[in-house]
Amino acid sequence: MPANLKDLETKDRPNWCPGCGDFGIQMALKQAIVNLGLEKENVVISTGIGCGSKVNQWIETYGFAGLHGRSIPVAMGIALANPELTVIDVGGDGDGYGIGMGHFINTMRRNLNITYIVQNNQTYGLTLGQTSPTSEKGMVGPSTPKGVIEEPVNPIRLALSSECTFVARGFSGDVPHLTKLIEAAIKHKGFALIDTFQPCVTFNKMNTYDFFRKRVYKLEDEAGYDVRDINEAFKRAGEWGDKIPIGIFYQVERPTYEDSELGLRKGNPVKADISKIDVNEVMQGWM
Amino acid sequence: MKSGKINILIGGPAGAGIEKSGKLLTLSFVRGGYRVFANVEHMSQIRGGNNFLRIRVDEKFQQCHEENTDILIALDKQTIAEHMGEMNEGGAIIYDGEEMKPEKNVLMVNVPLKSLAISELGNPVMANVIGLGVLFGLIDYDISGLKEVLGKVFGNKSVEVRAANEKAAQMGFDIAKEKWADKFEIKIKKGAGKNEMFLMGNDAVSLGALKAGVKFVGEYPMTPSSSILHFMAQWSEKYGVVVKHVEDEIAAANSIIGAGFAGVRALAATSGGGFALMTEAVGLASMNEVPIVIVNVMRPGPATGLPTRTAAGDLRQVIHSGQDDPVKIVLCPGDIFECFEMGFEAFNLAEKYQLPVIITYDKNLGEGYFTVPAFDDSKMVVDRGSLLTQEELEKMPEYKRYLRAANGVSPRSIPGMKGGTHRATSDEHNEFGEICETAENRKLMVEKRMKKLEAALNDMPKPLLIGEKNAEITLVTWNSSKLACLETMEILGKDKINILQIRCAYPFHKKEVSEILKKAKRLVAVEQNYTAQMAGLVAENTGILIEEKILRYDGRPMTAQNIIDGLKL
Repeated sequence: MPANLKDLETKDRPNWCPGCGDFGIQMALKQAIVNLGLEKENVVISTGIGCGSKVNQWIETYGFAGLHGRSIPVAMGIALANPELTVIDVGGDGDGYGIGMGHFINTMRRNLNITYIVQNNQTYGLTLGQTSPTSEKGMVGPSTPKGVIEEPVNPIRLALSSECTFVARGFSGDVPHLTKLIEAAIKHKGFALIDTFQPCVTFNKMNTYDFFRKRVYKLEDEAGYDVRDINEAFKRAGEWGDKIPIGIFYQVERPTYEDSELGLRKGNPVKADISKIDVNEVMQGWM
Repeated sequence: MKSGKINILIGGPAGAGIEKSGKLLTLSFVRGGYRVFANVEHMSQIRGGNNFLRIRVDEKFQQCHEENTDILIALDKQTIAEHMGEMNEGGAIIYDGEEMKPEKNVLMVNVPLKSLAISELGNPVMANVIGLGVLFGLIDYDISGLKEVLGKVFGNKSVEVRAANEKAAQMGFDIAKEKWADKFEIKIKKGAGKNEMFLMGNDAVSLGALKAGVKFVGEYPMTPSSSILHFMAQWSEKYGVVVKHVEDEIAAANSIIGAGFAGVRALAATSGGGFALMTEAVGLASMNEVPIVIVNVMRPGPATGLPTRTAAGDLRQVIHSGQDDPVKIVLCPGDIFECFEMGFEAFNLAEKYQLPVIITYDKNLGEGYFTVPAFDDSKMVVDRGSLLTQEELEKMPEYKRYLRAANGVSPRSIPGMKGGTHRATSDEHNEFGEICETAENRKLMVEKRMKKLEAALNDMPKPLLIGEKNAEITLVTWNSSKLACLETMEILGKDKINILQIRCAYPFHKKEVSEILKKAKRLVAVEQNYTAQMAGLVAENTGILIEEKILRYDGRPMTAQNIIDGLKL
């Protein structure tokens, strides 16, 4: 039975700071699951560690809360063990663009059927406000008292150059727009990234709701913007300042990893009968 | 005239064809009814250096090598210099080079292999096959066996290539028969093949896993474990196993946790350095109660160490993997049969107790080749433990994923099952899987997980006392050192020697091990590491100190001679 919003409610309520951008992401994610008519037992949300990674504690689907930076390999294992599931990965910018960067890049090029939502608040909230890989140059935190002196990661450009087949950016201050993005990402066959601005009201005093509201514009509103044009996507991904684009930067259809994986030709692994496996052919080969 | 057994060594630089020649030789003997033990010693490089393959041919089942050689096939000069010391009196060295006068009674079989290969067969590559022919001529072993094996090994080559190989083998055979055979004493008679398997420890573990229904393998290549990855990739399509060579061992461990959580049997194999990267994930599988199996094939460390050599020094790393006290099971197979059995049983244990199971053994066992009859898998039963069915789940008024059951094992639902939604959470959690930091809950949940180990202990392979109870000396050992201990017992007799093999390192069979040790007269630890890690574990668990130790940590496998020397009888 397709889930409604009430079905997705848990006993506990989120304990994020009042006004945290994670609320908007959680709301959009639940709404997208409902809008797509998904059954809650067929959805798995894999998360890492951080404030936002607690999101699956408060959505009544299957969920796996693993280690810092390792939500993507977990999601990969789930997706390949049971390709009939809808696998959604949610993690922070520290998780995906810092400690888990290797998994992020390698998983994109595989084009596994996973939706990856990054709660990008440009800070480490749960560990009390250190700067993150996406913190702007000059941002001050307890680990950088005189300000960050390195350039931030550009996740959209990284995704575009890592063969990601769906590259988008959302803003948790615009829940209806983010909901549509998540729906499109889940429907997309292949790996879908939604980098999401998620203002941290406690630690990030630079990239606030106001900061983004003044700057964001939607790519779909731009006349002639073609999501198949990777060069234009790359150009727009470099915009930062007075105007910052959100929406789908790039989308292309390519065979998924699951489509080509030899080990899946026999069917869904989780449904295989493993009670009487005949290994004689293998033994014969050693004779 | 000696017969029925012979020790052969093929040595030369990497890339000279040692492996292929070895395969042809060993298969020829296996098909002639002999039990072959073979072990490669190679350097961690693709070309050059000095590598060698030891082949022990015997009518009896042998599981380790001796340190002396009857026939040496030297593919370069260095090999002769390095191995002359271990040549038996009356042995032979087959080589292609200048005339040499050995310092001891060894037959120097100098054959112009390369020039013959070029002049007679038009291809220098055939030199090694001519050399094999020479060997068979020396021992008068029916060449038809080699020809048959050539067909198998070069089966995909053209008819011309196969014919040329057969001609090369025959040529070598005839040369040896004519010129040297009557000067060499050992003769090996080709018998009827017993239809036995010739395989490595890693193969047996892989087969056990395949039989157990492994459906997902996440792995990053690392010597000496990579052959497990290759095996799984080879059989992936046929058996429906998803095999993923991932970006690193962290991804390997976490991806198998994802697959295990989703409900399939999942495996990763690695060696010590890769295992070090997996240790945080061992804790994750323990905390979230996800069944996974990790194989750790040991090589000498620390750091890069000796990448292609053998050791058994990861015991402490493996049993202590993960911060705090993660529940886990550590199995230590000591022979090829246990590799198969534990490769299978590990998955049952993982699912029955919902925790990570680690199988750890040394390279000597993992990459050593053994000749054994086909394994009997007829009594192997897949046991998925408390994995719920949809029907069982629907009958539950309330589902608690981490229910505190009497033995600590909770009923498990997997994604896709209605009524079983839950969050598996690496934070401390309550019975529902919800994050919970109360002191009371923490205490209960730690105890719940720990209880599983008490239950699991009864299901795990018990310590094994091999030989007679009243023997004068008890060798306490684990992993492939057991095989050298067995040979020691054979040589010195059962009155003198018995063996206590410890097959599980964690949890530990305290009572069983204590009982055996208390009755022993003289205890000697036999291990392949510097600190006698297993003896330490025995002391920690039983209070019994094993003062005498025979330890080998030079990267080479333990032999019976090492033990006999160490016993100073």
